[in-house]
Amino acid sequence: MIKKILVLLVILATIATASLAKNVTLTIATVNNPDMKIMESLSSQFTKETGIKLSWVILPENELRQKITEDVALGAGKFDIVTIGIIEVKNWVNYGWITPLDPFFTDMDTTAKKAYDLDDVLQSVREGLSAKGQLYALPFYGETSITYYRKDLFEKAGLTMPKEPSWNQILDFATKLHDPDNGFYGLCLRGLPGWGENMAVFGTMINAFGGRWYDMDWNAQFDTPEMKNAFEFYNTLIKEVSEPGATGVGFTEGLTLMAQGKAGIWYDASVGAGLLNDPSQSKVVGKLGYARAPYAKKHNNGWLWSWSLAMESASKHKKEAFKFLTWVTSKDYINLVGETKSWVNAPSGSRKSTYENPKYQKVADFAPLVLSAMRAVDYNHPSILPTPYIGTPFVVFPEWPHLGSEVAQQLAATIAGKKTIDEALKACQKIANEVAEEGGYKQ
Amino acid sequence: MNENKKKGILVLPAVILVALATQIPLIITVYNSMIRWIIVRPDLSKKFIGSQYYKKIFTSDEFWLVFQNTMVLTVISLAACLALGTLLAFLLHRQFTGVGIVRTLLISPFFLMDSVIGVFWRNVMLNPSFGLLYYFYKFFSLTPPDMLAEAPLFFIIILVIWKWTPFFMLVLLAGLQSIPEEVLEAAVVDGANAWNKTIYVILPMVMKYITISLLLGLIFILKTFGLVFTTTRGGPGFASTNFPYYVYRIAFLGWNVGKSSAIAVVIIIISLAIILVLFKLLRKTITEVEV
Repeated sequence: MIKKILVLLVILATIATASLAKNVTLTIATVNNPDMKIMESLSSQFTKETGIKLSWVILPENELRQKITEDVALGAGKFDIVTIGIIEVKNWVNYGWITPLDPFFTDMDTTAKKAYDLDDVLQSVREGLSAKGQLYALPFYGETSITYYRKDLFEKAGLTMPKEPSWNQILDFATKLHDPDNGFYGLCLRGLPGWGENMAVFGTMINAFGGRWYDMDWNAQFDTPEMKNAFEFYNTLIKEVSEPGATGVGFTEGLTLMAQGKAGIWYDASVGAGLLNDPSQSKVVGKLGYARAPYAKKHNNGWLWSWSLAMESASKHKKEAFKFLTWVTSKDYINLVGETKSWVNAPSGSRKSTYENPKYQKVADFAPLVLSAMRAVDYNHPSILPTPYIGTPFVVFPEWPHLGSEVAQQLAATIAGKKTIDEALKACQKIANEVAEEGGYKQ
Repeated sequence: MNENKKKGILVLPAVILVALATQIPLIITVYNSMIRWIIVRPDLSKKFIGSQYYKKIFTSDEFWLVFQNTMVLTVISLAACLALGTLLAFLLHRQFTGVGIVRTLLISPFFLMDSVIGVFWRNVMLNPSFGLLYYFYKFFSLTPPDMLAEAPLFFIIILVIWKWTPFFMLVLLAGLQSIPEEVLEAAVVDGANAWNKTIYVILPMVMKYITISLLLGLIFILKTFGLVFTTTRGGPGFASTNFPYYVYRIAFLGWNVGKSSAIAVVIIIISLAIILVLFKLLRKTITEVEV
């Protein structure tokens, strides 16, 4: 009798566990970029295959970063999966806020492991998402910064864009194309203050102009001629040849301006190429040319960024979360996007096989340039001068959101005429030194 | 047990609950303001540092700029809301065809969320590339201004006035509607013209309503956050940062719990002082009017 009761209890427990597993809902925090919106729209396929439900929190970049940082730092566990970049991986691993993925890959069965093919993920991106010898996130897409230009207008004006233009050339080209009276701007550049917005673009300019944030003793470098040159040139570009209201223009707004045919040149994330070549969303399909990030004193200034998916350590559904991570970063998912949406929208910058796919090659004429630019980025040596930090365009340390946000605001103040460049540089110098002292970097 | 004691005991649970709900967070905030606690640096353990953050706040240029921004925003918005609200209340205190529709339209901005107002004005109305302002200026072959960059605090003030004028209008309209007709008729019989009637009869009788609207308006406008967050983000620099946004900036961009708590404590003290001074002034005015 007791045996029968025990057997019954085991059966009941198994049924209960199975139904609990089927009732798992993963909460995913992600950014409101076009690729992520596609991810959300296709995610019902994952639920159909696995029974795991998904709940989405989709926010603009600035807000997403705050929400996620708050959640991981306080261990709230509101999100199972968070969309983060290389900088978060490098910083958060030290505090155990995200879960290493190697044990989950070890537990994968051979067929699944082969199908996923981790070696297919681009090496530079894998290294960026690894720390202490373990992989902590899987790349959804990877990007660098490139120069988009209207090759039709360049031809008409008799201009030739080199493979890697200088910033002076960009200013010259933009000046010749600039026609604000007719709502057309020579250059479109981010001016929206934010450590991931205007500082993404300006951070590469600091490197290009031979500047750096700190010297090897963690002394702030905003009082150097290189930094002043970068500030002055950025101001010149924005005020003389760029779109009005630049302080309200981030990636999404810049993409819209370029897609609507309102700008001759756009320097920004390579991931924008997908939408710009989608006839349903862009007026400039077939009219675009591509070049590398501009240089001044230093070459190869494109940033390296990967919007990636990681598991919060506080998540209670790690096995299910890993299933989603590997589903959405797999070759099959990329094929799904290609076949159901379009190949030009397939997530790129993450896998070698995407670039070898003839269907992708046919529609993504920008792909070889992007791949070579990503491979040329030296993430560990962002400046021509030695630095105590790594990372481009950001300084990889936990205080970056604070430092980046405050410098972003000072930069925006110079564009708006609220501060002179010298005043802004003085303020940035003070902020950066305070950050280095309070954080214990400066001895 | 006497009646007052009985009343006191009955009210006590509510008092304790409210005291706990309001005072415990305050005490914790004061305590946190004396701790070095940076959320993104758990390796830097929490450390008692006393009044260090308070010294930094009072010696920083940013704090005084934020103080100035908050005072300018509050004083100008209150004055404009009171003036416009009074004017609209007088205009609506009459019967005419469609008065109901007009009232509804005038009241509607008050019921919109700050985030909706901010996004709407920033992107639909004032975007210099795609906004209505752009098309309006283009029609006259002019270059649209970039209000968010060139005049960010002025832009926030406009939004605050747009949102809060209906509140002032509603309160003052209620005041006007509470004045007995006989009093106004008596004033006319005594030879008062429209101006005299307004200054010597109507305004004194609605003074209490003016007090309520000013006090409530002060409290709510001092707390303005959503409009700043969805439009200028307190920038460029600190040009449109007010008290609440300053706390947010240090707490959620700097992740510095200690410093943001210290700023919050200072703001509470300043806000309470302003409210008490205004309350005393208004009570004095009401008393003089009643005499």
